[in-house]
Amino acid sequence: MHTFAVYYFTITLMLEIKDITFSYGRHRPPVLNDFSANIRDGGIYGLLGRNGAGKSTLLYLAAGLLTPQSGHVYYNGTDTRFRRPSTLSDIFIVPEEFSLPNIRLREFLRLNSRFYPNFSLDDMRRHLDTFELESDLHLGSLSMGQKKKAFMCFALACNTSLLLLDEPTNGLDIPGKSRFRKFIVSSMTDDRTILISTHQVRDIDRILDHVVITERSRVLLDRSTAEITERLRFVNSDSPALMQQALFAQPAVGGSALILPNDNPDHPTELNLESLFEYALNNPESLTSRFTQQ
Amino acid sequence: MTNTDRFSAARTLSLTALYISENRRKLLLRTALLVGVMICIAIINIPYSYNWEEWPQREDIKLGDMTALYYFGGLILSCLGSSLMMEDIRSKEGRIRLLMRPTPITETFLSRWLIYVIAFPVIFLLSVALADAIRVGIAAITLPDYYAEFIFRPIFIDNENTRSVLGPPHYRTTFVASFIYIYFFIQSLFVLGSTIWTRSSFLKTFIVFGALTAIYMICAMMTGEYLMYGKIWPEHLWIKDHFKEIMFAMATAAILFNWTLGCIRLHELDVTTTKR
Repeated sequence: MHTFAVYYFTITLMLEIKDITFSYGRHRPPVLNDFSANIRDGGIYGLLGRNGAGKSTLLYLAAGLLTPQSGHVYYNGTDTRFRRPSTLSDIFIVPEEFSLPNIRLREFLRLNSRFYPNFSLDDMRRHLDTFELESDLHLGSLSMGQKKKAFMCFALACNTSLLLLDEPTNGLDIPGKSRFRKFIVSSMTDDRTILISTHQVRDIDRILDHVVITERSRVLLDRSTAEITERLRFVNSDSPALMQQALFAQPAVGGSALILPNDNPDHPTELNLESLFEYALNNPESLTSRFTQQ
Repeated sequence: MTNTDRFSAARTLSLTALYISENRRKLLLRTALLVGVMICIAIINIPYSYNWEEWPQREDIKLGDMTALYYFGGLILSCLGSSLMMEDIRSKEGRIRLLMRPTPITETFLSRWLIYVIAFPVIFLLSVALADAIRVGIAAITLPDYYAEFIFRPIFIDNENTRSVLGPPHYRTTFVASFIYIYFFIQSLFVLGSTIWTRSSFLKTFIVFGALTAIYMICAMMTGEYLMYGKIWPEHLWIKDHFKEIMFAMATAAILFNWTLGCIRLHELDVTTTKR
């Protein structure tokens, strides 16, 4: 008797962005025009794009802070424009600019944690320790960088399934940036997705699971870092032979930063996000073809 | 706390507590301003009432003046406060903080409404009582030959003083009800204005709604004059007989309409305020 085991693999779309059009003024050109993208369950996504590409706008739309002129953003099947508490309590956004009230952190937690059912005080203490912050802070007396750390600790302690970070390392000191990477990685779970929008690619390149590059309302690249390093090789070299084979080259310290096809997928190289970003902007068709080839 | 999409009274009260805690200093300063203004009115009125030429023969005049001053001052301060009800939506950071909180905007509006529409009149009456007590105390010390009465007392108390000013009890009720309706109507305009104009809300509300109210009242008066003097219904006096009830019903409708419109306006709020 034969026994058949059937395994179902399902890819859950956590965030579905469908044909979004958005502009900041009636007579201004749209920042996003018929833009679509999908964010799946689990993983750390890096959202890269030029200034004015609409990265922050996309995060605000995902969090329900903006209403698109057309199109929809669905979070687990619910349109975020309705700003339902059941939806918003599972999404947390740390914007680039934010303000905190002039009260003690303890009081802030007591008053605000009520709205997030999965908030954990133990997690909050652990995250504060990571950033070497005391638990008995007065938020009004903190510097901008310290406020950012405290707010990010709260964001992670809320244990929402979707966490949106807009330029999270802006304002952080050097130790803070390295602790940020440890902080993000240590709080990852299978059912949590973190979407980071940033220009500071060197602060996050080692923690990303997935890269999304956008330009003029188009998704130029939407791949996991594993897939990228499987197909592409990133080296720093001035070798003429390599430069001839390179798909993309740009001047860098210690030689040119090259992107080459990876002939040895079992030995991936370290991802160079800056080069990848430039390659995507300068030659998007070539980049796309790399991932459509068998 | 539940993250239900339905209305939650517990969540509304949590939002009220959150607003009070985050704006504690501001609210205390405003309360101090209110109490200070009431005390100033009370103290300024001591020599006025003492030197009133026809005192003590016309005590009812003194009573009327003081009450009007207190309530007029309270009305102005209430409108000022109401125009600041949604002041945090003035800045982008404030709008982000308000919109990202997983609570329905209706509950956010209601939490502020509880403070500015319900709690404020209570605090106002307490501050008037305090100011009046201070007035009597100061008058007792500085003018020993002058018997300063507590003039802040429930206005529906039936005695010679109130009866001579306000008339029989049923007129008194109409007077109090009319004042309450006018107060809440004017305040509701400023509540609505605070959700429409994020900057200079008090001034803009005063100009726009003041002008609109004046136009409405002139039209209503002219229409009433035209109807009431038999030009359309020469023998129909139903409107005249029930004028008070009609006015109260219209005022109630207008107040509820303003509050509801203010709440609906907040539902349209986005992080960006540019017209799209």
